[in-house]
Amino acid sequence: MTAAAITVAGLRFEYPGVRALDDVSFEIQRGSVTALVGPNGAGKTTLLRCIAGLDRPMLGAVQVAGVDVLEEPRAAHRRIGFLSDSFGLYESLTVRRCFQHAAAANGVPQDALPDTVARVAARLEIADKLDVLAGELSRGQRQRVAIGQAMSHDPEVLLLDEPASGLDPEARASLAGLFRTLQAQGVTLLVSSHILAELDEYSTDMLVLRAGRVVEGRALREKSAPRRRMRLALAAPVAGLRERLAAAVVAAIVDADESGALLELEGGPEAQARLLAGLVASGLPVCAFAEEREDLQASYLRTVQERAGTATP
Amino acid sequence: MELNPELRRNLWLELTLHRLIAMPVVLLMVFAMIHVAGEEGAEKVAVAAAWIAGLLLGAWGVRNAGDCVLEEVRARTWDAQRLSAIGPWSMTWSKLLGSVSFAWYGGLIALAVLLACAPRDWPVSAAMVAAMIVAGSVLAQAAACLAGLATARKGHAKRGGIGVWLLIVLLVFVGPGVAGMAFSREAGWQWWGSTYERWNFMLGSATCFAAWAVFGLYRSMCTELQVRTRPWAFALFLLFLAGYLAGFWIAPGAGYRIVLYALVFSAMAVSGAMTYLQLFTEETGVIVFRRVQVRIARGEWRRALEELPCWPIAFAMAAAACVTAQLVLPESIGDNEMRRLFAAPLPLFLLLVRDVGIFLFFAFARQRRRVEAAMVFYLAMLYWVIPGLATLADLKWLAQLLLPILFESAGAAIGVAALHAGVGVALLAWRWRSYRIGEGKA
Repeated sequence: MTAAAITVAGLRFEYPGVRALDDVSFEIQRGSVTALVGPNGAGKTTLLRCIAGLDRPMLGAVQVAGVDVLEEPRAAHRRIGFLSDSFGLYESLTVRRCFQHAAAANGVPQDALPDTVARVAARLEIADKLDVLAGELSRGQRQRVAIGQAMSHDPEVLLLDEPASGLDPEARASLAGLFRTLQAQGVTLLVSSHILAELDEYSTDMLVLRAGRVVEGRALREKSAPRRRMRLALAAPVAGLRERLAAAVVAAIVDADESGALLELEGGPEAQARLLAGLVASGLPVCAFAEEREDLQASYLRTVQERAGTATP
Repeated sequence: MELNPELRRNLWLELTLHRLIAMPVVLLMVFAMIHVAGEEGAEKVAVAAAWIAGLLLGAWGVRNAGDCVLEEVRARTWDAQRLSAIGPWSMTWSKLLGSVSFAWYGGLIALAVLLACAPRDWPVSAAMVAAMIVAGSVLAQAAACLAGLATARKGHAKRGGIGVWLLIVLLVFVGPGVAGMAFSREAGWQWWGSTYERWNFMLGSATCFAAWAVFGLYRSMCTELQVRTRPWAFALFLLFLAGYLAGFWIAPGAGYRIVLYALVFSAMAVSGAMTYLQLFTEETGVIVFRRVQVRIARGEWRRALEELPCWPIAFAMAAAACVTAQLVLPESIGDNEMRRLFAAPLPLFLLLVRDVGIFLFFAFARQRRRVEAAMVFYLAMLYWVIPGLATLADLKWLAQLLLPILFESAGAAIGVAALHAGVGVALLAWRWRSYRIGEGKA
């Protein structure tokens, strides 16, 4: 079994006169939740459709759970659940029948259908709507039914294109909870969205797409040997703080002025405790010392700015 | 036994309890009224039952079959179907049967009434009429579903009503031929030099074409569901159609050379006509050919064939048939009005080259709009309006220049047609080159 849930290599996709994806390559690890971000027209939807095997790229290779999507698209489909940004439901069917149809169409045996429907409905907290027509549901409930249909066959990989668009804050929070649960169960998620704050709640990795190219792909939360940024705030200004920190502290100084500093720390809570003790022992009037976590929005904007800076001659 | 999920979904929607009760009640009331309305009630009921079955299956059924995929595209559920585990054959028959299940429910009741009430002294047996309605309906429904799938693939799903349009086209173009067969005073039909009983021949033809239509739908569904196929089935269908039509031109005792020419010319005519049809119904954007070009450049011939549209196959077969026809052209083809047409395979093919060039010139534009409508306009102008006006104005030379098959001299016809083809190829080459330049800017 390969470690990567999704492997994309040299993907190229063209629309007339426009290269929507240009030499796109990346890997997504099993059990991760990857936020696919980028401006409008960056190629996010095209990329998701190519991974799902719905659109054929001009060049390149895509593997999902070890299956070559271009060579064996039907076999790959068994491992993929896909929610399009413009999904539709069978409005004249009840939610129960929608789930039954989706599960049966995705190969769930007849005798397992009732259990599958019950399990999916419970997972999506929509069991009380099973006998309601899909056309009578609210936007958020429809979204849940669509996600339920996409995951009715327990796919290894879920591709979700703008899953939270049009949802109210409560429904979004609930969706985030669902994604965390799925991740805990080992499902790999690739989620495209414009709402970065929402993605930040559950994403472990970020993939930035811009003008059809991967600008950056990286983990948002390192699992081992974390390098964390610590914000130090002082109760009173201290002249020459940078020099005093350099002499007393075993940490990289990212930024410093008289009233505080931003330090980069390697290690876990023990290292953090040692650093704080050192700061206090050196006589600094420490009033706050906390991890400064870069959220997805900041990370995305920094990446975009860095790339823009690199691109500027 | 596990019921096909797509069939079950269609049955949930089509065969509700209310409908299951309403259809027989309404039909039986109609038949009862006809029966008591006058003399020879049973025969009138049988005639009405045949008409009702024809309308239910041939009109309503065709409309539903034509819209079954389009409605899914409009409702944005088709992508989920394409990703499902349902195989292309299961999807084909479940869509074909499921979407028209209610029409079949009513149609079968009407056919049962037809068989029960028809007098035994009808010139054509009730069983034959019923079989013709069934075979014709399957053919029309499968063709409508195929047309719907092609419409969806071209991104025209919102236009809808494809089944109705197909029905109109069938009535206008195929209807007269079928009606001519059905109401002909001839007892039998000459085909490949032999005589066949008229109704048997029609039923055999309808059944054969219905089977081809279902097979064509299955192949098209394969493409839609990402099952990799090569276009051999389409080439086989062209050969079958060429053989079928050639049979009507071959009189008993026709010489070997005439038979061969009829077959080859039929192949050229069928392939040429299907080139136009496929151009109008397939994806023809520049990306389709860029993809094939990339595959060929990388030596991926199998993939190139899999991604090749069907029209180049028809075009290549038309080219091969044209060369063969030119080689086996008999000295005398007959003395009828079509003589000139039959004797001009090469000019006809060169005009096809021109038209393909013009079509792709429009289709390869970056901002393509209404390519098919533009092409219909230019074809009407080139083949009908301007030559017609020129002939009316006694400008025979102008009509001949635009429609080279009007030349008496074969050499002149070929020369001018070659100029036409050159214009088409030049337009296409210019467009292709300009796209390649544009690619770098994107």
